[in-house]
Amino acid sequence: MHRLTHIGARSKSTLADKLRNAVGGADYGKSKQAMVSGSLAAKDENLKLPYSQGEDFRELYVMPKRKLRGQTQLEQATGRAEIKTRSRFDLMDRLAERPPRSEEMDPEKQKWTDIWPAARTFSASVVPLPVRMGSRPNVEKRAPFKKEGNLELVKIPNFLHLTPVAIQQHCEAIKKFCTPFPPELLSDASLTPSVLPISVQYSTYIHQGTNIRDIRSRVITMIVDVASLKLSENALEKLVRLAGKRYNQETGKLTIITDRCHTRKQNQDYAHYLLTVLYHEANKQEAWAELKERSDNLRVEFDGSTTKSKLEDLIEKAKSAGLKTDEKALAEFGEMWKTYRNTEETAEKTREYGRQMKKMLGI
Amino acid sequence: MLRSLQHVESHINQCRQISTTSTLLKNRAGKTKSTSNRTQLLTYEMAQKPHHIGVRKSWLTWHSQNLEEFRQSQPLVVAQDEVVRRFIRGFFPQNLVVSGNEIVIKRRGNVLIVAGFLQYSRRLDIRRIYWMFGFAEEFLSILLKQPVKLELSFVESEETVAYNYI
Repeated sequence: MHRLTHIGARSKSTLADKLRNAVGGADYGKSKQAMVSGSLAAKDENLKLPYSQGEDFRELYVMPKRKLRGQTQLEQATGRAEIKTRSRFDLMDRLAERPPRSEEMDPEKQKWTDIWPAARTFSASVVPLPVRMGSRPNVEKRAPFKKEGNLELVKIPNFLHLTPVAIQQHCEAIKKFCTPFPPELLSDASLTPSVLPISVQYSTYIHQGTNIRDIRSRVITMIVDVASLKLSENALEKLVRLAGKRYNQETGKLTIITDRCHTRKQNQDYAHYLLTVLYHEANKQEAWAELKERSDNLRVEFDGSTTKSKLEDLIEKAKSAGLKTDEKALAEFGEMWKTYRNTEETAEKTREYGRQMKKMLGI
Repeated sequence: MLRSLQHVESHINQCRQISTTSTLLKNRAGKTKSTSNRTQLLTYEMAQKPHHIGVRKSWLTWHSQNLEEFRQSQPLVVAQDEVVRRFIRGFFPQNLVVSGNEIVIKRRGNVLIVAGFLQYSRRLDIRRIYWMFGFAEEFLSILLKQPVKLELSFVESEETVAYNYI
């Protein structure tokens, strides 16, 4: 029963009825409008009404209320709808675009060091130079590639941050941390070993990566002028013996290379420690050191040699025979003899030996 | 039936050989195909042949790990380069020029510098770009454990980097 009335109510509200109502008058929509506006009276009325008199069904929109894209396109194509033009979404940014900085700037009035303070990749919009880079098969026909969008200019390292003005500024800024080089040493380089007897050498390796340390930078080379240590003759000989190959006989320099510690500082400290130990060890006189004989000397000495005693005998004989001899000549010959015996023999040195001998004997 | 199949299989196994083909003796690197109406864009990098590297064009990556006595971590550098290039390619898809093949990576001290060109013809959103630059620098710095700087400069469109059309 209920169902039947329901159907009856439905049969009344056909599309034709709706249209009729819409065209004929506002009667149909009235109750609905009242419902929507939410008047209590209308709601009460509805509650009282039986189904047959009819609460109308709600509209079902199978199609959306807006126009579909195809529909609007069709309308636009046939000229029934006007085409709306929208501005670009990034319009404000595009309006804010300025001409490149290199065109805006006045190269003569501004400071270039403020624009390009540090090392940086080449930027065509900043550098006000008419640069071109790249090869062309025929340059006269077509010029080399322009500045804007030139990858070759971007790739190469540039020195735009190292202009003469920038370097001058930098030097002036760090001047207060520097002391002048001693002018005496500048004028006379031979003073250097006496004033600065120790020189320390090390290398710093510059390269890149996540780890910029280099294990080779720990090595310290310390060169000491042994003469400035003011050692006695015995001590010097002991130091030479202890140092071995580290001591250079010709230049009189002691070279200590340390690389056994991990850092440069540690190695430098160790080098100084070694020098201290070497100095004090050289100055020590052990009991057994006094047992040293003439044959244990590092160098052959003229004093106490058989040559000297023989020569003295000879000179004595010559004196007794009444020949004129030179006392100084023996000392001179001794010097020559010492170098002759202690260095490598050459023809020149042998000739010198003969000359000295003739001179001494007065032949 | 099955038995015969087994026999066939064993027969095949006996005859197994190494398959060889003739070598393709053809140089494909640095060869570009031209179009009839000259629309194919060539950048300077593409136009120069591989044997011109170091003569007419320079390298896309600059570091000292390939110098004698400085080869500490050459493979690491190669891997890092690839990571950086892929990240830039994926992170700026709308701004890439020639599909991001020409990104220059320079190393100075422990700093890694990414240089090259990006375009803004498709989208120009200045604040977004600043944010993306900051993000990319921060992300890559943390990833590679060293400071990374982006020195990518912007060109209006790909035509700016065009050296030639073929």
